Amino acid sequence: MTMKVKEQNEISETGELLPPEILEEIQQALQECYVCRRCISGCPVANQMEYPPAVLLKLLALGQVERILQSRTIWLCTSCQNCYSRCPFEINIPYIIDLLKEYATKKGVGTSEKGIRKFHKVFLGEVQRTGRVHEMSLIAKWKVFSGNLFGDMLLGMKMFLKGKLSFLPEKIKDKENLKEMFKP
Amino acid sequence: MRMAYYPGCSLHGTALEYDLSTRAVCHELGIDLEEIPDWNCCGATSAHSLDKNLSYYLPARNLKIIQETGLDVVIPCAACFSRTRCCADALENDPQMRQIIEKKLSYKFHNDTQIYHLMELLAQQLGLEAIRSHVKRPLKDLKVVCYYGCLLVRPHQFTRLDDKENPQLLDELMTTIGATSVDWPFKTECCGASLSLTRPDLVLDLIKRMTDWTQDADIDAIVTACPLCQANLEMRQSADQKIPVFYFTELLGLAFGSEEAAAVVKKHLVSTDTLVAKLMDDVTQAKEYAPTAEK
Repeated sequence: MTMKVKEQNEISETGELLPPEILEEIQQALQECYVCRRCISGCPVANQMEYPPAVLLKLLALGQVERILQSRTIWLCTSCQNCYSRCPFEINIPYIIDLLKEYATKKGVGTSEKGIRKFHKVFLGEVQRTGRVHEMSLIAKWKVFSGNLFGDMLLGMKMFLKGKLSFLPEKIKDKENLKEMFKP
Repeated sequence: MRMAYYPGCSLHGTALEYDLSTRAVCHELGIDLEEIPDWNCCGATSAHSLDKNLSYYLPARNLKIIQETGLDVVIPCAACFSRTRCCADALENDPQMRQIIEKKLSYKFHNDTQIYHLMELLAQQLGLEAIRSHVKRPLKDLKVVCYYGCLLVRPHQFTRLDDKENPQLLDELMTTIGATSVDWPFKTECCGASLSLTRPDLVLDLIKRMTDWTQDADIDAIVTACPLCQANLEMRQSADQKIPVFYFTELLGLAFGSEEAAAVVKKHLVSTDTLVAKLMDDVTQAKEYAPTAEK
């Protein structure tokens, strides 16, 4: 007996549903996963995740959407592709996690790994500003945002002295297309 | 051989050594690198984590520029390579995404640009024999492990590079230049990637497993082909371990007797001085000995 994913979501605790465009993409995966755990065995951060890969898929299948969207799990994923690489059904777990991260961000869902999400925003902020990531600017901005002003300071000084952190960012000339790419 | 060259953001910053050694080695091997004009960031991890469409637009703009050059492209950074290949795959096989991208960037995608990672360009397209013929100073006293990391070999559907569980290309390159490449269990284990700035504690653990192993096995150095892997391995190993981490192009450069390579490795955070002194002590003699002089 297989329940359609939509039916499963309707009986979730919080009544939270994933939007149809995401459900469409993950439906097959949620039905296929039989928790062989190859993904969990190969995941470098599984021991830090509340819901390591196969568990995440099963919880989604059972309608525990809100829990997953708020999890640390989806942000800790390093996109190493080990799970995808070893899954007998070739379930693209990193891609599914990306969809969840994007959705959680758009919805403004809270997470306890705020730092990681913020970091990605700061990174893309740099890309939007200049077209390239100037590491000095990125690190400076990240330190201000994260409140961790003095961590890695010695490292930073060393790198600067060796000419690995330049003062001036490089800006691309094609501002028009750059702006266009970031338009929603 | 003329190739379009996409360095990516790190190679203009903290991975300067990778850029400089790549240029030196390619120059020696007769590969003309033309850095593509006005390239943008590939989006790395942050784009695909927050905005799927953006994660395609960014590399697609680069592909548009590359297409206009009429050349194939070589990419040294594993992450840039991965994102660019992923984008090319979408353009090729996902008509809906292709339409969205082409509209956004006002261009028509022709499926005729080959996208190479630097490692496969040198080891496979150019070939090991060609590499061997340029070796002036075989790195005989060097015992290394090859760290491929994640994105060169996975997802294999996109990278189509080597073997995804036990790749050999880098090992073969190292053997070709005279070094001893030791087999080890961490070839394709994740270094923690972009968690380095947000969760360095996790990266420390991941790196420690590897550097503990290399310390126990008396390895001289770790060799890698990705800027973030190199940075993590170097910056996040424990302070007492001091294991040098090279880009494979630096070692190729040293074996070719390149002075640029010798200069570039001085920029490493974990000092390579003792190791390089041991390897390079007779480079000047090797240069005089070599039948074909540089430049």
